[in-house]
Amino acid sequence: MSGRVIWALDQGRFLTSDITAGLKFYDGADTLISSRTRRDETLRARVTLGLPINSLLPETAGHDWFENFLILLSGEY
Amino acid sequence: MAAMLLACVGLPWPADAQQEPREEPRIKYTDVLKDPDNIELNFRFARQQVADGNVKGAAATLERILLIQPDLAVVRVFYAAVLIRLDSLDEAEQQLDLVSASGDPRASEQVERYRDVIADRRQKTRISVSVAAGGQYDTNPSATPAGNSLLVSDIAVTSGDTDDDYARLGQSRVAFTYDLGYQAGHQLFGGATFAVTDQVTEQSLDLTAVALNFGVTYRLQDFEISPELLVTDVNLADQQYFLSMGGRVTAEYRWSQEVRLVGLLEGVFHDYDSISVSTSADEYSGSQIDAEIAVKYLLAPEIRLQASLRHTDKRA
Repeated sequence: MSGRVIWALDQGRFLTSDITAGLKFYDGADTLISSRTRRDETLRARVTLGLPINSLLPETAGHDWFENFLILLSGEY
Repeated sequence: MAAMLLACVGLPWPADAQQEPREEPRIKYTDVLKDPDNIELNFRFARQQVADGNVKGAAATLERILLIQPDLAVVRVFYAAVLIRLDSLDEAEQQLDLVSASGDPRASEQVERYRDVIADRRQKTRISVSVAAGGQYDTNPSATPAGNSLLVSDIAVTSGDTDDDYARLGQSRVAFTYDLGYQAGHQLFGGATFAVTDQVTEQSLDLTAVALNFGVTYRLQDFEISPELLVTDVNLADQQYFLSMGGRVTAEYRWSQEVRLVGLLEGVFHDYDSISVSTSADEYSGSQIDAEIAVKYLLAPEIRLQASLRHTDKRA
């Protein structure tokens, strides 16, 4: 199960937030590790902030070329 | 003349609207029915429909406005933009021709911009290149258990402490699509991705990976299917560690505007090599088949939910 929310900010900036919850069931054991069969429960959260480089420059800089470049700051737990 | 009309009805050009966003009360369809000849109300409703992701509905609303008042260039340009979104490129071009013929000087810049978009969409081959570089901080890059012990054949072994580390990251991807020239939009696609992770302290986790894919997408009205070939190669700690070769078939059915059903079947062969930091890796070599079904729900344009069920059959 996963969900994503995208927040559109001004000047092309955006924030995405993702949360994923998962359950994994295994048919058999991995004997290299244990004779017991594992079961995984995962919860993962991620936040990413996208900043177009030209949104960080003064307007007088006028570098349209930078429209194609983003700074991404991302955190995951 | 068209610009004067615009001023009369007070419709903002789309570019103006983007520069000065303002909170507008939501319009219900019943509001439009109560006052069907109100051009401004209809136009605001069409923009709201686009914002809500109802592009087909917006096209119908804009068409209705243009039947009432055909010389509104701002509406016609917006209608052309909506038609581009719907991939009706010939119709969009016709609308832009009508705007050009009106001689509205305010429209010319937008008309040229959308003509460029149409020309770009009509290109049979499209190539995209992306390059990313950055850094990463991980509190536990080796995924060491918090209890500092792990199991080896049911025997608990001390694993040492969890150590944090920094890494330099690099990634580049070249991808292409080739339009096969059918009205339905069948296309070839493929790409190559190259990724490097260079740990500052834990050199045994330095990783280099190359992934290649090549496939074809076959489209019907609300359904598309994409078989593709996949190859992935991974070097770990400067040693050949993992090679995967196989194929995948993805099918997607658009149930409604908001709901899509996705099915995936993937079969690959994993070839692991034992290396100094993973001496029993070759035990994991073998075939793997994955099957997944998923439901994607677009709750709002900015909120997407997905529920999926995957079954993996690994023979190693």
